[in-house]
Amino acid sequence: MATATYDKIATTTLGSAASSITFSSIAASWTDLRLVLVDLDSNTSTQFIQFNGDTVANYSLTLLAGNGTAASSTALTSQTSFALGSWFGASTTIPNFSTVDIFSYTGSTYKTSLVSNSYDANGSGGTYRSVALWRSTAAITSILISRSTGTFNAGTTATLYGIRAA
Amino acid sequence: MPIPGIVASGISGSKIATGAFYSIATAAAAGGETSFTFSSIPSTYKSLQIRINAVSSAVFLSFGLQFNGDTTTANYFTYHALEGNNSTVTAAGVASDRSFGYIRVGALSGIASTTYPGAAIIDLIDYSSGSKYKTMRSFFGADNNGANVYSNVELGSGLWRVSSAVSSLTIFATGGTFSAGSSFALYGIN
Repeated sequence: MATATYDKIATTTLGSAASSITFSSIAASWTDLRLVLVDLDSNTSTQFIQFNGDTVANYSLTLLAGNGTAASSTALTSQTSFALGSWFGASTTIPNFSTVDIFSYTGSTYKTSLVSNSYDANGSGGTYRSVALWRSTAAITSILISRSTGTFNAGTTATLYGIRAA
Repeated sequence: MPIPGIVASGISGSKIATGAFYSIATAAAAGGETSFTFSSIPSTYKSLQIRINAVSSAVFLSFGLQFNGDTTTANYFTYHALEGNNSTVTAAGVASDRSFGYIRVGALSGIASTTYPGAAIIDLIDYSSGSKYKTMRSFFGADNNGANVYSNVELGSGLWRVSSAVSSLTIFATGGTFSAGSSFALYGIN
């Protein structure tokens, strides 16, 4: 049987509120990265991703969303980060769940990510699937997860996995 | 940039194998290919996952999956999709012959570029069963920062109406070829 190739690179569980989470010094040992975020929000806000500390408008996103009553699709171009989701509400008990699959993160093309974000609060919530583009050919060595406002509450977990090809 | 949160730094190369996700094979495009085939897939796993990062110099490149070299169109005809293309949401279902012998996964952004990749994750469940048809699901997306209207995200499902175990799998392109920088990886999941 082939060798297992889904590796946990790093994980953190917040012991107290924090405004951001960073994975840095990411080695070029894998083919793809997968970020898993289970966050508890201090207020209604959006989570964002930036790579390598790049704050220039090099990010874009195409989004498919459902909120219980309607489906919609939006494109955001030339952004300074890309959003995961979570426009719905704050809670210390109801987690918001996101995965970000980052393809060929050391490759020579621009970097495409597939994003899944889900949140349900027993009567409100939503689910998002989106594709995000970072217009840079640099290898990704760090990931910053931040919020538009507020903080990630204690108990929020973030885990970064590496997936290696044969 | 101040980073007041938790920093998981200096952990490069730290790996804890989860033990259930295995790399079976990988292919990279040199440029000009219309298909890639993974053959001799062992039946040792419960499910397969295909991960694709594709670029093309074609204006519009559609791609999909074909199993065991089966080109019988009637065996692939069930397909459903939910798609957002930046302004509208559409749902499509096909319950009759689509006139081509593969299950569609997605289409690159309608822009001739070798720098804007489209990406896909495809899961094929219970692929080694010899007694039931094979169901797959796909999550595809391609974004080009507003260069045209074809940025899209697509969720799909498909059915291969054959009971044989899947032992080979072809990623099949129409409308153009894959360019260098495209990569295709097959994983087995237990």
